[in-house]
Order: sequence, then structure tokens, then C-alpha cells
Amino acid sequence: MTTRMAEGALYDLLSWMSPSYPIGAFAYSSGLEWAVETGHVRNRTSAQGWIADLIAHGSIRTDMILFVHAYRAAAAGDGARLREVGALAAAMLTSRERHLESTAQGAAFRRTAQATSPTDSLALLDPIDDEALAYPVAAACLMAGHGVTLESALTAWLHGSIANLVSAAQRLVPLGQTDGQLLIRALREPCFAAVAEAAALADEDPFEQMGSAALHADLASMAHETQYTRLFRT
Amino acid sequence: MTFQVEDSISETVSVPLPSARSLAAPSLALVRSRGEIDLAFQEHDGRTTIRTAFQSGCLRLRVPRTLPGDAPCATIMNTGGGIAGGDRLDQSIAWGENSIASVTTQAAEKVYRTPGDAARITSRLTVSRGARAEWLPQETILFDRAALDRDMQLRLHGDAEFLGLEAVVLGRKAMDETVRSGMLRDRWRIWRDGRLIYADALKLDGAIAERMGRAALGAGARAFAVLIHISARAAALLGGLREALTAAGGLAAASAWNGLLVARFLAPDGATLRRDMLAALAALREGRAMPRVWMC
Repeated sequence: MTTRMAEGALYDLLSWMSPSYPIGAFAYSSGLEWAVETGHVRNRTSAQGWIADLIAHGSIRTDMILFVHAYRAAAAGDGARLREVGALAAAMLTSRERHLESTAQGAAFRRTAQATSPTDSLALLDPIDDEALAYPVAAACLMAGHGVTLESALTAWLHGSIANLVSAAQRLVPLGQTDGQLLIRALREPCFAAVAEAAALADEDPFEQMGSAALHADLASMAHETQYTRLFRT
Repeated sequence: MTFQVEDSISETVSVPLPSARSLAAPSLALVRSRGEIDLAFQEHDGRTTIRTAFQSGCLRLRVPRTLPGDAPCATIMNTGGGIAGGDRLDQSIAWGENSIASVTTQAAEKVYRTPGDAARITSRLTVSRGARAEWLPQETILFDRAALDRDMQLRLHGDAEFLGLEAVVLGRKAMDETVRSGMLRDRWRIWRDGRLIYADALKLDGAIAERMGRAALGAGARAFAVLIHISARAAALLGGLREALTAAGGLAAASAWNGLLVARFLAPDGATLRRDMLAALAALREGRAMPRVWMC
């Protein structure tokens, strides 16, 4: 029975975080397109450095913190707490494209989840409008509702973010298929470190745990808005 | 430059805490600077005046007289000659309904090397409906091994407007100073009518020089800033702001969403950052002159 539950959770996570899950993830690069355009990311090594810094010090770390608190609120059935985390998540999307990237995917994720893998905890998101539903909040809520463990949920969600950025780097730099997989493999340990750090976060005000050092990536997200040639929406 | 102090300023209330830097070494770790400002503006017959101006410890307020029709500009001074570990500064500023006023600082604030706790600065800004608030402090200069923890909370009501910035310079390039390590936490939260609309948290710690050299983090910059404007015109001002930023000496970009207009800056040094910020501010302030202390 334990095995079947573990296999069930794994199966579901692979579905929800698959590139074929219809949230349009392929359209977003989180400013990576601008980093490539300006020569800051130009090969596998520099792509790895850029993505690893987003995980350890940037927007992905912020999303992981929000994910943890949203997961715990949903697992506890605490709608008020979930709305609070959701409001903070939306307020932390500090550029037009970052807002678009997170809320467009969050709303699409909720719609698909409700239609294909409904769970009571999704109803806790009802008071949050589509335009204010951040992607990590929606994903955490679904995974908590289906009883996926926090560490598995975080690992799957972070892998999804990494795989999406690597896919964007493959198209933009460009990088070959093997380089792409080497990149995903190289980010395995940073992923585990980030998951361990996030899962150990105390149950306090999430904003007190925030802190990004990714000044250039934050600027990149804004600069991308006026980039002349764009394959990606962000 | 000397300012005339407006008559309505309240009596200075001084807490007899000496500056940490003026004392001999043995008590250095124990003596900390405290400073508090409680400032409130009010509007009457179209003119903004000071309603409250409480100052204590190392913080002082100066409000030069203004011509009728001109909005007042309050200047915060730190008589402690800089900030060091354990210092605690609390600033509370309120803009009453329909008031129009700016607040700036006398000079760039220097944050010195810290043996123990981080210095803490809290700012609580409240802007009532119809008011126009400007928060224009000069740069914060961080020295090697300095530790600073700042927390800004801004509460807007109704159609209140806000223009603010926060700029940080890591060491003085002309003096060949490098900030190798240290700690800077800078937190901003903005609420409109009780709803959180903006939250941003910077945390730069550990090996700062190494981190600032990384592409996604500092990209080699030694100075950075964020500029925020909130009003019904925010989205309409984006084009003009971007136009002004095309001549930036450092990196700069702007974005507008949900009634917010935000620009981010990275620069190789404080002088470049200041030029870029002034260009952006000129675009947003419709030609009004900057507070005079900015031009010294």
C-alpha cells in the first residue's frame, strides 16, 4: 500500500510538472532571453551559473519559500493563511513580466487541476482571482491536497522550473540536447540543497525569510520588456 | 548651507546617548546610537505645513522655509556621523490628506564595519488620500564588514501618490574601497487601503564582493538602486522614464504594472548611479528641482 501511494504520487508529480501540462510554460524564460541577448549567458557553464544563482539567491528561492508556506497552509486546511501567503506571493512579483509569467501559469494550472485532478484543497484558492494567483501557490495547494510529501512536492516543482529554464537556454544560446541534459544533471545537487533548506523553514512570517541577491536578474526581467527580438513572453 | 527652521518645529527632545564613535574602545560594543523621528505633514488652505516634528537621539529634522505655494522638503540628519553595529533608527512619517511634501537626508549615510549586531533602521510611511509624498533619501554607503538591516513599510490610502527610492553604494570607488563581506537586508512593503501591493526583499550577505561579481546577482556592479512611483499616471509615465534611461551610464530598466512604476539600477560606482537616478527622477518629477542637499 505504501509503495502504491509512493508510486501514485510520483506518477501524479510527473504529470503535473510535465512540459505537456497545459500552462504554456514553454513561453517563459524569466529574463533568460535578455541575459543571452546581452552576452551574460553564452554557453553551458554560464547558463548553469545563472540558473544556480536564481535557485540559491533569486526568484526561484523566493518561489520555494512561498511554495512551502502555501503547502503547509493547504495541508492544514487553513484558508486564511493560504490567502495571506497568496497575497504576499502576488506582491513579490515585482515587474510586469514576472507578474504575467507567474499568474498566467498559476491560473492555467488551477483550471487544469480542477478539471483533471480535483481535490478539496483547491477550493481554498477560490477567493484568489486569476490575476493574483501565483504559480507556486497553485501548485503547492494541489500537491498538498493529494497528500504528496513536502520534499517530493518541492523537488518536483523545482525540477520543473529548472527543466523549463534549461529548455529555454537550449533554444536561446543555443545548446545541444546533450548539453541540456548535462545542465539538468549539474543542477541536481543545487536542487537538493534548495529543497532541504526550504523544507526546514520555520513556520513564521514568510516575508522574514525572504531575501534575493539577484539584482541583475531582477533588472533583466524588466529590460526584456523592451528587447527588440523576442521568442519568449518573459 | 544653513537652513532656517520653520517655527512649527517642536522642541528638540534629546536622549543623552553619545555617539558610539566618540567613545573609547572598552565601551564601544555596549554603546549604541538611538534615533527617532516622528514627522507629520498637514494641509490647510492649499498649503502644507508641519503638524508634528518629534526628534530624538542622533536623528534631527530640518525644514527650510518655503515660498507660499512651494511644497516643504524635510531633511533628516544623523548627528552620529554615520551608522555602526547595534545602532537603531526609527523613522515615522505621515502625510495628511491632500498634503504635498518631500523628505530627504542631509548626506549619504555611511554604514561602518560592525563587530556585533547589525544596525537596524525602520521606516513607517503613511500617505493619506489626496496626498503626494516623496521619499528621496541620498545613497547609503556600505563599508567592508558593515551590517545593516532595513525595513520599510509604506501605507497608502485612496488616491495617495508616492515617489521613492533606495540607493546603495558598496564602498567608495575613488578611495579604492572594496566591500568584501558584510550584510545588507533591505525590505520594502507597500499597502494600498490595507491590501499588500508590493513586497521586495534584498539580502546581500557573506562574500559580497564575490556575489556582486556573479552574472545573475551584481554583474560586477558596486552600486544599485530601486525607484518606485505609484499614482494613477504610473503606466503613462513609463515611456518617458524609459526614454530618460536610454542614456544611462550603468544598467537601468523600468516596468509598470497594477498602478506601480518601478525602475532598477546597477552601476559601476556611486557617481554613475547618481547621474542615472537623477535622469530618471527628472522624468518623473516634471522638471521640479531636486532638494538642494542633493546638489551639494
